[in-house]
Amino acid sequence: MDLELSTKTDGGRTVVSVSGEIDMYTAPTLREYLTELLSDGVKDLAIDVNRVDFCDSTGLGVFIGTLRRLREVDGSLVIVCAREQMLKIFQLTGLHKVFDIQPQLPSED
Amino acid sequence: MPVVRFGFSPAPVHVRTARLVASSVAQQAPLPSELLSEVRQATGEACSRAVVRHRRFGISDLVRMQLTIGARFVAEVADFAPVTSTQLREVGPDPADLTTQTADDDTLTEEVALTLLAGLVTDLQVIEAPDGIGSIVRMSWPL
Repeated sequence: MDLELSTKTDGGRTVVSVSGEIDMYTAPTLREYLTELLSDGVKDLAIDVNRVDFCDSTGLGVFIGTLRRLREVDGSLVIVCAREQMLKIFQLTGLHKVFDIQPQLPSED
Repeated sequence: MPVVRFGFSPAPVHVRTARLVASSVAQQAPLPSELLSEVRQATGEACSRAVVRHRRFGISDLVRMQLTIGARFVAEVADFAPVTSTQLREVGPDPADLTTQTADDDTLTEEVALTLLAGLVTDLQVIEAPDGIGSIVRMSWPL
């Protein structure tokens, strides 16, 4: 399945919704998309992965790289995730301690 | 013992095919259904790691995956890139280090893949190939 990306604004935060599979084949597309947003000055970002069917280490690498770049500019990254399959890979890698993972956007509370 | 061998050019698009092959063979083994997603993810990680290693050294040889159905379901993924002793380990780095290291994308993928494999697979070995060229990720699951 191909990767589908869309962007919206939620309060002051830019939200990128991802659907499909994030793997070695599609991760470069996601990386370029996020890099462009950050280059445009986005500092507070959320990545919604609730419609991601599969994510591998390459995808996690993209999230890590994005977090690094946002930290350099005192920005913030929220991962929006309630899917058990995705939460499992964050937990298996210990990255659930590194990322701010929320089941939904704050505005959806 | 039934054996399935699959080789692919070290390109990202073929990792997806390798995942599907491994998952299909595991299903026919038959592996318990609750383990199929683990096999799919773990073989994909091992194949991604191999592709990254070939890419780093400009190696165009096929990445080899072998699936064996015996007392256990065994998946082995072999690359043919030079190895150092630090790469032959079954434990990834500390997650906090991943976010502070200045590794390039391929190194990061290799490190995260290893971390994920260590979390996913109870019986995991990362060993040097018998002929000393490349490394093998060996994983097995109970049938």
